[in-house]
Amino acid sequence: MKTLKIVTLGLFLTASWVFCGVFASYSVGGLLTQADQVVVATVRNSSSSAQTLSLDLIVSRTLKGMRL
Amino acid sequence: MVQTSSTITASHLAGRTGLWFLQQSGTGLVVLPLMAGDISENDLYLPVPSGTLAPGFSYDISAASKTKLIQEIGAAAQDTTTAGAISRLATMRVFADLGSDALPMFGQLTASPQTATMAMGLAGQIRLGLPSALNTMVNSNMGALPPDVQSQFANSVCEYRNTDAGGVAALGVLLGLQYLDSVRACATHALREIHSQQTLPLLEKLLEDKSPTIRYDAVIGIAQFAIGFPVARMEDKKAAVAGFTPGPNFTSDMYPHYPAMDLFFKNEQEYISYWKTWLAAHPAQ
Repeated sequence: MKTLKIVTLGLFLTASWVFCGVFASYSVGGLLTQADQVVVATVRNSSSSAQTLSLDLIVSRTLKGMRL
Repeated sequence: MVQTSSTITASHLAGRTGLWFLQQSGTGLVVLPLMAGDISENDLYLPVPSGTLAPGFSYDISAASKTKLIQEIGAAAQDTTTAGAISRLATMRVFADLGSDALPMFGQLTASPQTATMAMGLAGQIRLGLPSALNTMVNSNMGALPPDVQSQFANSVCEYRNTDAGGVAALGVLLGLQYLDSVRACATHALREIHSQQTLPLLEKLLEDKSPTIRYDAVIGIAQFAIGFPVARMEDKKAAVAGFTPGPNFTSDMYPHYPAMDLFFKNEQEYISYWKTWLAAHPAQ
């Protein structure tokens, strides 16, 4: 079990300011293809600043990518 | 430049366990969330139980990524702490592109003594077009099930696509007035999209239904049969329609009687009457 440090989260919001709500869900098969690393992990620490969220993840299982 | 949603609170994430999809970006990793738009912490990852995987869902380290993913979803669906979230994601079609590879996992869930888990398995099988799952649902005492379970079943029936005679007959049963309106509407929608020969008598009867939406779906189903539209799963429909050429029954007056919903509601009887006449003229159809 290892810690995956500082995962920077980028979420691009819709350009429309009147928009409110989730407008689409992705399918996990597509996400699996798109992702470089897929892990089961627990968030140890999280913080946000300058509209960026950072996470420390404790990885317990690796489904795709480098074994952590 | 990256931005976080205003509805995400960093402190809410500490201690949460989940399955994270990460993409390399420069020297770091970026989370690929499950949803797009103004999302919350819950939409960043797939919730899975902490600790070791439940028996029946463990996997070999050398297994394919997709196999591991399916097993993780199965374990999460069976765990009481994550089952609700997995059920919500299933309804939102987040697992739709796993395809028939997920059938064994859904089969395992149907054996669960917990009603919600069993229902999730059955709903998954129905979405993938398994007639036996539809029949199991019909033969269960649906009225006695919690409303959220009934709703889950209804959603899955909407996605059922299989011309199998037993499955179509089961959809016919679900049109009964004893079922929730949402179940009847979804059974009609499935019949509309299956639009095989066997569905026609059922769709014809639905032209007189009390629900305007059901009457509309009945018209569209009959029209799709007559025009010769291919039967396709929800995710394949766009491609199927793009490569489509009308069938041998097609006549040029059919398209003007294949209405958008708003046009249908403005002049229902014109469309209903047209397709009743067409069915009467094509008894062998």
